[in-house]
Amino acid sequence: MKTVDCCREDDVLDALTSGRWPDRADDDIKGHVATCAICADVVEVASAVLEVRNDEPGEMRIPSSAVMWWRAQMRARQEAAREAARPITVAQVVAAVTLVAVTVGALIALSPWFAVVLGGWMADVEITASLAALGAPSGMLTQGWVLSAVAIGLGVWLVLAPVAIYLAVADD
Amino acid sequence: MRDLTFTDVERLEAAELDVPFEMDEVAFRAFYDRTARSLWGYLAKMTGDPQAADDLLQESFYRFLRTRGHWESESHRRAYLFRIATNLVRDGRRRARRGHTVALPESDQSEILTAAGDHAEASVRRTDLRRAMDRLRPRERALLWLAYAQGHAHTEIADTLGVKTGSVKLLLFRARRKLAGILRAVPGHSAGGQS
Repeated sequence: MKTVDCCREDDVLDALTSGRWPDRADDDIKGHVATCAICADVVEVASAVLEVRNDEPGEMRIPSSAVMWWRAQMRARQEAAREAARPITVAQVVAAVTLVAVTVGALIALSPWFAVVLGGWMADVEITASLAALGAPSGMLTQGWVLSAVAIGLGVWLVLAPVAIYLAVADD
Repeated sequence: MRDLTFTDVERLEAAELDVPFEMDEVAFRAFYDRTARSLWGYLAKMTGDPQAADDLLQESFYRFLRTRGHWESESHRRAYLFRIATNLVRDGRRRARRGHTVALPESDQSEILTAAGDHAEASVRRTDLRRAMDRLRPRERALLWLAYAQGHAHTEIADTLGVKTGSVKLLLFRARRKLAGILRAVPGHSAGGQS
């Protein structure tokens, strides 16, 4: 099985991180690194990584802990407020969609075109006969279009409401 | 989505809305002071973009604060913070791949060579080192950074990157091999400062 680590890695790393490598490192460690491929890689890579790390502080723009805490507080408050306002938003959206659905249903039901189309359709499927067979009142038979208009309004509502609610409460 | 109105905030503030952070201010600030610099360094290395590191640093600490968790130790807590940061970087990279946001650059963000004279050589060397690291896969870069720049233990690295502790040794070995090979191939490169 291939060896993936060396028992002296920590010693080598310690020499690197403490700044003793290479000038002030023990000869013992230097001798080991010269013969151990794994530790040679550790020296190569860790010294490169440490060099890059030590070069970074100049670019850092870290806010103070007080500023970070304050920003987190503000953001959490805003999110909580948004969360609390969500039921109101949903209710407003549902009301708006219901109004649209009722309007669409009423407009369709009142249009002469709809009466013609529905009349033909009811004759085709013999819905009047079916309702009569079920013992429905005669008023319903003549006003079947009202039921259809309500069904259309309900259909519109079912299609629009979920989409509208999603758009209203989605975070992004 | 509708914007919050001033009235919404006012109403909730009047109701003395409690902001539910698990950590109190003193504990958070102490933890932040201990970890922010190393987390920023990690994020800058992972994204290759100091600006993105600034944003992700804030997001990481915010998400950390919002988490309701109990940590066994300081290192466990720190690993959790780094894990949040790692996931944010990963998400950013995925979004960038889908083209929805500005890409988090993989390399060569900080190649501004302004130094002159004796400093020029050091700058070139640092640029070479950065380029070499940028040729690694994100996970390889994260492994090497956490192990050697941050000095994290294998268990902490495993927690941060979401891999098994037993796998860290092998993954680290492979990443190290790869970077060492790249570095040795750089013309004029001297091994580990041994010149």
